[in-house]
Amino acid sequence: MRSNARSGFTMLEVALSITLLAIVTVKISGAISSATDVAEEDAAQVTLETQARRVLRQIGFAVMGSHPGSLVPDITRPNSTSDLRFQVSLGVEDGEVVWSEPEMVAMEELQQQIYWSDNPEAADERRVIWTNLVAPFLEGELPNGLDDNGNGLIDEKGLSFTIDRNSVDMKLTLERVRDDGTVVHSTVETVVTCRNTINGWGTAER
Amino acid sequence: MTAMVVFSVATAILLQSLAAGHGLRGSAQEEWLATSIAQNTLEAMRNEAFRDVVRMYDADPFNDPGGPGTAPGATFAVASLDPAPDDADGFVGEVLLPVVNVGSEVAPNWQVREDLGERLLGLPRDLTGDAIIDAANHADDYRILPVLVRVRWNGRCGVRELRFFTSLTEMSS
Repeated sequence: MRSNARSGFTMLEVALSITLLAIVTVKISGAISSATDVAEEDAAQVTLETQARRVLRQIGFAVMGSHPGSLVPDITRPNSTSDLRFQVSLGVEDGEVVWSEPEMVAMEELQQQIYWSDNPEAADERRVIWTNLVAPFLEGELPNGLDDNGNGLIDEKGLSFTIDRNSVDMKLTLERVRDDGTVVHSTVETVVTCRNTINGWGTAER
Repeated sequence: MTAMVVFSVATAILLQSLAAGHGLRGSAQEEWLATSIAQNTLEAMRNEAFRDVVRMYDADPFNDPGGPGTAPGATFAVASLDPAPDDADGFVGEVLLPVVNVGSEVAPNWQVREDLGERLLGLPRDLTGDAIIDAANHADDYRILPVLVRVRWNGRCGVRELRFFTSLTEMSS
């Protein structure tokens, strides 16, 4: 004798399952979405930090080979400069040190660029752009004559140099606007001591 | 039901990998910070008069060239890095120089020695360039100064340690 009972789910069971599934799906997709956002933000931050460190390392290596006497301007805390000129030793000729033409690492605020320049302001000046993401001012700083970010410098630009005897303190903030309009910052700093402290800079032809 | 379980497991794995990536970035940042601080410390040492480096960066605050307690000393803290749980002095950064205290805790007598001291600095070794390793105090005539900056901290992935070794020599100015 065959049973008359029907197999399967009731409408209530199906509705309940679909509701639960929808709730779980919404929750999970929300979690995935927020985790993806965090991951994207991380990626943007890491990319910017990597670039900031690379640029600062480039500047550090450029300045490291210079003579401290060639650094212009000779600027000390709490003031700073965003343009630094220097000269490096090219070698020795007839017992005399041969110094390079002036080189400069500077910031072009309008273009948000940092560039290295060989023979700045001369007709044959060469420029190499090292980044185009530099912030107008260092992170947390405002142009108000105060030290807003508490780093001992007043109104420092996105690239700032201060000189202490043979060493140069460099700070850099890069910023990038993400697709969603949020701004990502990365600030790095380092100190580099000029290695080329050979005697005779004062009498060298500049 | 099976589909739900598979879906949940897959989601958990995805979220876990995203979280791991986030943690990895934090760990890399710690390492970069430690590297940066150690390098800056070495650069700051290069910026000092060669004869003053030992007195400024040894553990004795009473021999500082600018007066007692005016120099950075042998240890330093790093903002946002916590010291390791077994760190006795509570500082994550340490500068190792070829100096030893041949006095006592109460009456210290720090000396630059070629024959004693930290093996990580390559000691015993000649510090004066006379090709002799002796037991004298070379605080006033060392010509090469091995330096090791060690940063040890309690990071996201446990206790981490970075060491930076260099040798300083006198440069004209």
